[in-house]
Amino acid sequence: MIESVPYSAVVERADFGDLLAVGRPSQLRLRPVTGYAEIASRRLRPTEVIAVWSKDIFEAPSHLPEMLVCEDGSASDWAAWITTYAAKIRPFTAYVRLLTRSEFEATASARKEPSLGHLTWPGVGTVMGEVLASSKISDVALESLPASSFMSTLSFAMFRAAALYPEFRDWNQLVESWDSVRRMTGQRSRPLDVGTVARVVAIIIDAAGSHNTYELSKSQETPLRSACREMLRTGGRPPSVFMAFQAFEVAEAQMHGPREQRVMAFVEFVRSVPAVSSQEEDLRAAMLGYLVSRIAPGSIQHAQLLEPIAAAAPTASMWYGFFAGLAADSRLDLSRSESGGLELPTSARRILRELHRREDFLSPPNCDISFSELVAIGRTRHNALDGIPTGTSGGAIVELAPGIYSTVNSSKSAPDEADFSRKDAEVVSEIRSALERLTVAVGALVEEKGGRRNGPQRPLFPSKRSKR
Amino acid sequence: MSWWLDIADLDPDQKRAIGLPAKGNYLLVGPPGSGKTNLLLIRAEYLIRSDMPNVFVLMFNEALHDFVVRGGVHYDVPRNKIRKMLSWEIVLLRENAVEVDDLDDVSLVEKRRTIAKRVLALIESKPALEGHVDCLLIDEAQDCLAEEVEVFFKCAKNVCFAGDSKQRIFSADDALGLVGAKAKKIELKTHYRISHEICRAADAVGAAAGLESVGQNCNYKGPASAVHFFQCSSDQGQMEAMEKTLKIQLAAYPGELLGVAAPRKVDRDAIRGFLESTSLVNNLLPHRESGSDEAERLIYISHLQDIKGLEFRAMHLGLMQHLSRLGENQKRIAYTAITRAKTTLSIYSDGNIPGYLEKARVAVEPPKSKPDLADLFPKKGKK
Repeated sequence: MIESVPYSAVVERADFGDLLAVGRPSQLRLRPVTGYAEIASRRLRPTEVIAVWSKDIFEAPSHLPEMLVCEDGSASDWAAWITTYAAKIRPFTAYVRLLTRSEFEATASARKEPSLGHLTWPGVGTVMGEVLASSKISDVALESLPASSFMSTLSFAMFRAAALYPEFRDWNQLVESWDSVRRMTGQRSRPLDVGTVARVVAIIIDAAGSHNTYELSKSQETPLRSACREMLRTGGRPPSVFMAFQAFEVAEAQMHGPREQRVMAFVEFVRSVPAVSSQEEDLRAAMLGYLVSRIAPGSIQHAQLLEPIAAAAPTASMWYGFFAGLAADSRLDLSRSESGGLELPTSARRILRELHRREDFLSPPNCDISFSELVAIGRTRHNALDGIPTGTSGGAIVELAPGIYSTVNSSKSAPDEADFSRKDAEVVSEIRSALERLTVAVGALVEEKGGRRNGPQRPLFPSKRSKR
Repeated sequence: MSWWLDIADLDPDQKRAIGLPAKGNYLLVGPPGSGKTNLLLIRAEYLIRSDMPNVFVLMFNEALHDFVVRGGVHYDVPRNKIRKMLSWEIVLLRENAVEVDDLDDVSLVEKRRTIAKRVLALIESKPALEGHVDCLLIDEAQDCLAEEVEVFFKCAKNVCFAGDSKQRIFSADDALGLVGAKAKKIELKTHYRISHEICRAADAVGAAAGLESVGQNCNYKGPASAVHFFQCSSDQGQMEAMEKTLKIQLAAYPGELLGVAAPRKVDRDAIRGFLESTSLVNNLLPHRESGSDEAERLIYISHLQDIKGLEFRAMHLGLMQHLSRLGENQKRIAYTAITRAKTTLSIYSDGNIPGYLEKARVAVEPPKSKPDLADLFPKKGKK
């Protein structure tokens, strides 16, 4: 959040060059401001932005603004315009945040100290579980994976949103942005589809009670959601929803003896678990994840037991991570961990560091490029990251929403459809551009008629936002 | 081995041990699993960093040496600083042109004693060799010969020994007594490796050998533990039961070493031959190697005297009906073998095991209710 906002100025496109000029931006009318309300209340034309500086630019004359605030619905247009006409500082969102008015207002409520509360270690565990499910690596490899591997997951982005904002609302947009970034930058497709991951994380976040994620999980209340809620409340005791399955109850009763006995109980559960309807697939995956997590509570070292059933229960690894984190949380609270501390892989602390990283919205962003600028550049390039300088070799950090980041591999020169010929790629690019122009035109038409302009892409999930 | 990597993992006794100054002679004593080997390695790293680079960590057998070398990667102790005692002495003699190749036909103990005497004679003739090493750190010191102890004190400016008299199985000399007269003794009371159930089995065997209890200082916090006694009428039956349990343990304790040991070399070879014919063949470690670059090789097979100093998450002691063939030292050997297990101990036999091992079985089994006196006599009307 921002505590004070020293200077701002309304900037027309024609004067935009003054922002970039070395020396005092003499053409701009700078105003010292006192806070959010003053900026939020200014009405802007589509060709205007508010530039916000954290420092007195009379003392630091070459200083770029930290933030540009535009009206809702005009961010993609501004991103395209700046990327085109201010190419010398491309990607400009590595230095300056471009926010819509709504995003700017949301940053006002962002937590000064991001926190996941009860979801701290369960959230970290779920991120690890998504990595296990998505990359088919062994759990031993979790120890040595770089932080960027975990930051590339959708669950990381969603838990970061939950940690940073007390009432994050744009879940659909966040999931859609994450998916688009991966497609635009040619990331390898993952075995777990984006909708499935989003649904699991949404259930977990909602169960913690701080955010409403029904738009992602598609329903208001499910047995699994109530099971998660019960477990978060009881510190991981088997929930009544699970215990209603006799096979589960039998297996769970065996989860208190030596590990050999627990492994045998899990294997027996896998053998005896009945075929379930598609609605109950999540429930079955969660039960499998729970039982595996009971073999060595608070640690992640038995993911290989889930490998043979990965096709039938693809999200079981995510649930395993969640329950392992839940147990780690309880064990830390009780100070009775086997080795006297956190037993999740060492990388867990690194993930947590990134999830809980403080965000100063009046500092330059911690990314290589923002989502809106990536989209703008992607309209003219086969791979949106081609030629974009990044902070680290082989990787790029994309800001999906203010303060919410995702990492992508930037070393690949072409996206998944690498076997496309160059000519094919150009055709695709032209079609994309035409579609975008059409979308903008339709949006403008709707706006003229007084309607609200929609984003350029259809949401991945039907919007069913309703209060619990 | 559960290698320590952080000072937060140490208990007060261990902290006292790592707080010792770089110079001086020390003897670390403590029960199995109290961290003696770890402390030696940590101390070696500290000495190297304290500008005392000429140090060596010495140990007895090939398997323990291999085990410690693998553990040494967690510390900055170069591989060439961890050596076997005998080979370290032989290199010293060869460097000084002393004959060592004439001892092929003598027993190992005789060879060790002769080599040590030749080193002492060498130092006598070349006084410059006295104290030529900054520090020697000796593991399993209870099995050193008196001559070897003298060699270490003569060659090094500083020495640090670690040992436990209860685990002495090779030497009749009172090496720890000799060391204790010249070195400051640091006692580690608590051990962490061995579960309470396994301590009960070890104490039953140890009591028969006149050894103190390890159970009273047990601070084990690992996974739930179990001790199983399998009675099978045939050797084949024992090995099949072992195979089944090993398969479950590979899944239950991923990445952890599992041990299989038998009283004699011929028993070891029989078990290895059987396991090599099963689907576990790719999980077996090569002979005398306690680790492998192939992650799935986790089962170490040996005879009972070759596992001293090692530790395993689960230990299988097979064909134990032959234990009595090991002679008078069998109780200490059995005790040492049992204390190699951290969490699960499985003992296989045809039912014909020595009385002290029978006591171990009784010690770990749940107490049986006393039979009704009437049940001891045949019922009336029944033949």
